[in-house]
Amino acid sequence: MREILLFYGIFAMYYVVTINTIYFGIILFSFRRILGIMKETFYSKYEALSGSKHVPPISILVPAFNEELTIKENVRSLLALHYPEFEVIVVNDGSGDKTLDTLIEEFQLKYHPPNMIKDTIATAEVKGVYYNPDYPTLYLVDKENGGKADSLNAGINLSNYSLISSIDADSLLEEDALIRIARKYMENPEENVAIGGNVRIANGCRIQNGMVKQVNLPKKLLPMFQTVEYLKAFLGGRIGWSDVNGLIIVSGAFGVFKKEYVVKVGGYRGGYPGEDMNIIIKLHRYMLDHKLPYKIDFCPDAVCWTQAPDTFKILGSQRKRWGRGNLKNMIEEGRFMFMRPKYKIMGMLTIPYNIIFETLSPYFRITGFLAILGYSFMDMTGWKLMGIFMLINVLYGTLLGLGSLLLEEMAFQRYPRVRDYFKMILYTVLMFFGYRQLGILWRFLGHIDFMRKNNSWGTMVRTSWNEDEDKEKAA
Amino acid sequence: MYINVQIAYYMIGVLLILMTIFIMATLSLKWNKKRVEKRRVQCLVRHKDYLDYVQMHLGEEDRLRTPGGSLTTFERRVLQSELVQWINRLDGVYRHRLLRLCGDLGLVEHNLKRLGSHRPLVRLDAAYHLGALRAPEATSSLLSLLYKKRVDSSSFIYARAAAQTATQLSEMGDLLRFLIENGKQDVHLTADITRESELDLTQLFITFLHEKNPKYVKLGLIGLQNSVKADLPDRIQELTKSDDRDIRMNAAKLLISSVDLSEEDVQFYLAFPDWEVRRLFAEWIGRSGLIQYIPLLSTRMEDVNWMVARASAASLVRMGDEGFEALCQLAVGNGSEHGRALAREFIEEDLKQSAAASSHVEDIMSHNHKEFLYKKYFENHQTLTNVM
Repeated sequence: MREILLFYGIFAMYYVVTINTIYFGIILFSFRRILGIMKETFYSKYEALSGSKHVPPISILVPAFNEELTIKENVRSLLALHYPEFEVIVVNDGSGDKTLDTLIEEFQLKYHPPNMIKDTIATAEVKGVYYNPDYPTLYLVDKENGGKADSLNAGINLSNYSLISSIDADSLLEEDALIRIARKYMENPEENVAIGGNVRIANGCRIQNGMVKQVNLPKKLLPMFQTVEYLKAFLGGRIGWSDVNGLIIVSGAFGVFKKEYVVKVGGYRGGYPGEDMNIIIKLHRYMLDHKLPYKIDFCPDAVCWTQAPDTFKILGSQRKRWGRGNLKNMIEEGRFMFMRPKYKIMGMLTIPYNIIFETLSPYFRITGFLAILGYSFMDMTGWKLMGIFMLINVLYGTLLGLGSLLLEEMAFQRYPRVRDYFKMILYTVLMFFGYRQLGILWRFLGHIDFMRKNNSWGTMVRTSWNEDEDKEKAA
Repeated sequence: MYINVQIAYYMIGVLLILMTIFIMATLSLKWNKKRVEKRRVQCLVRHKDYLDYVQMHLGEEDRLRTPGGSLTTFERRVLQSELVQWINRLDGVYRHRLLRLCGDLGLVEHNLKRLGSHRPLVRLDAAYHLGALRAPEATSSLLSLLYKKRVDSSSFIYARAAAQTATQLSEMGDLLRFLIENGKQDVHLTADITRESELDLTQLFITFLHEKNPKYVKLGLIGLQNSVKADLPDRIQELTKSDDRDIRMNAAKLLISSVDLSEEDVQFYLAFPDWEVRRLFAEWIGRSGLIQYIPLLSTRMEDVNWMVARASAASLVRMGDEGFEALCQLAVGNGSEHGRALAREFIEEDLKQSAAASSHVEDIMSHNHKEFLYKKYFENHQTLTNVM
């Protein structure tokens, strides 16, 4: 028994080392790409483009469910974007709060029957469209509750332009985010079917009129962990994955898509979370099935700021949702592409990596941990060996975090202060002592929810963007 | 299972070394940036008087003098960065004088040398600045650099720089042909690059209209929209019937600027298959106040595309009493419920606006007339009371 536990414990350790090694390889791809990104970031003429009529018009889709606290600022920030031609389509997904009333009052919107909505993709019943000619680029769609994917599909049905951008209602775009992503799209419009933006954590930042005016690190523990986590995922991971055209997700918080292909793959899949990953896998599959040249890219200098959950309850709900969505996507789409050479990088690397090292990771990690624990109780002499392996995993994980921080410094420098850098290193290390384990447990619980067919959204509480100001005023 | 503790120790060592390298690299970047910024500020303070002098004497005819003494490379870079910002903001004679000053400061020479660097970032930086400095002597080198590489993101930076420095139409022609033949970019991106050129590219664009490759035709059409309007060739009318959506749309857009459109033409474009063109023409009629097309606009209020219908209604509103009356007729007419509702919405909105803006006698008279028309068509209508 002791040998079996040792064997399994060591196997689990190798498993984690392998994940880290693959991730390190991906980071190396990110480093390969970063020089090009630096050139684009520093020398591309965004100011000229933002005043030019030559950029493609974009329909911005904003699904909103119970967003009364943040929606006003978000819509204002979208309307203030530096972009020549765009429309903002907010889709109220049967909110139980005052999301609809808040927007109607704020923008003096008037009701119109929904006869201008096309029925390209089936959605829950649309009750009406609100509009005010004084805000000619703003539309508010009011519909029965059907979920985020359903709302995006309703937005597509109303949209007038051939490019659509999905943006979360709790996110703020930087002024030039759209123009940066549009420039990337324009470099290869035939092949670029989707481009993701870079999502950063806004907690702690000073926000004014729906814009991030001063970048600060979060003050609270959980958002701070998520800041370093996002940096690693977006800069260390997505730059590299996009370099080999193996990106499996364009964050729902901010991405731009070619509408034509989103419609061709049937629109967003409803009923389950993870629609952002689902649409990307479907796009890969469609393009590869039809042997069409394509690229799903990532534009790290197009930045979207989002609110990170700051309580265990909300974060737990989010991570369980992600776990559920990931499992569903792998069962529904991933298994058809797994290890099939026809699907190139997606079939031979991205999907296998995702299934083996993301979807199944909670099982290997939790059982591996239990095996190590069991073995250690039976034979205290094994502690040293286990300790070495654990140390390797912590150091390896920290190295990946440090690599992402170096990428950040090379191309973006959003956190210039040295003490911020050390704070981020500290949290990169601290992550391995509780936070990561909790994340794995939440993902596992998400799988249990999936098996039990529990498909609720869970806890989701928004706080006002002006929370600090509100508090000051109250004081 | 294979376990070798010695290898594990080696691995820990390697990881620690890599971590140290990453930390040191990040910190040196941070410190270097801070140091450079500090030096930059000091340099600007040192040259404040000189920069003030340049600003104050920009409008004078005398040649601007260079700062006394020799400049270090760093000082030259700082001054370049300041002057390039001004060049980008100014035009005409001010820009010309600044460009001459940059030449006198040796910035063009300095960047031409850097253009031959083996480091891609240095080459790109030099190309960017040579473009900003409108250095014609750099055009051929910039084009050579562009031709040498596969078209990627940085190619567009070289292309912009080459467009900024080009002084011959043939150079622009070569540049555009290279981009079209070798790149996968949107034709609008190429068109945006042509805006950097100070040359009149009209003839080049007209030549492109006769090419077989549709990319040239599109560029020609888009480019002509930006150009000083010459007599538009008949070819554009033909292109409005192209199978390529982009070509016919851009041809139609170009025609809007043409003054000799007949009523049949306007009717044709208001019923165009592409909604963007219909909207464009509907907006154009309103903007130009062409009241003879009110009946045509009224029919567009029933357009299947909401934006076209709204643009037509908005244009009717812009056409004063005649447009307002057309809206009233539509609102009580036999059209679709959608068209009638839209007309009512714009009528009510217009009445509200004109009531609010009744500060001049003409405004009051106009509002009264609209009110009269409204009463004529909607006698004792409850909404009127609400609107008023």
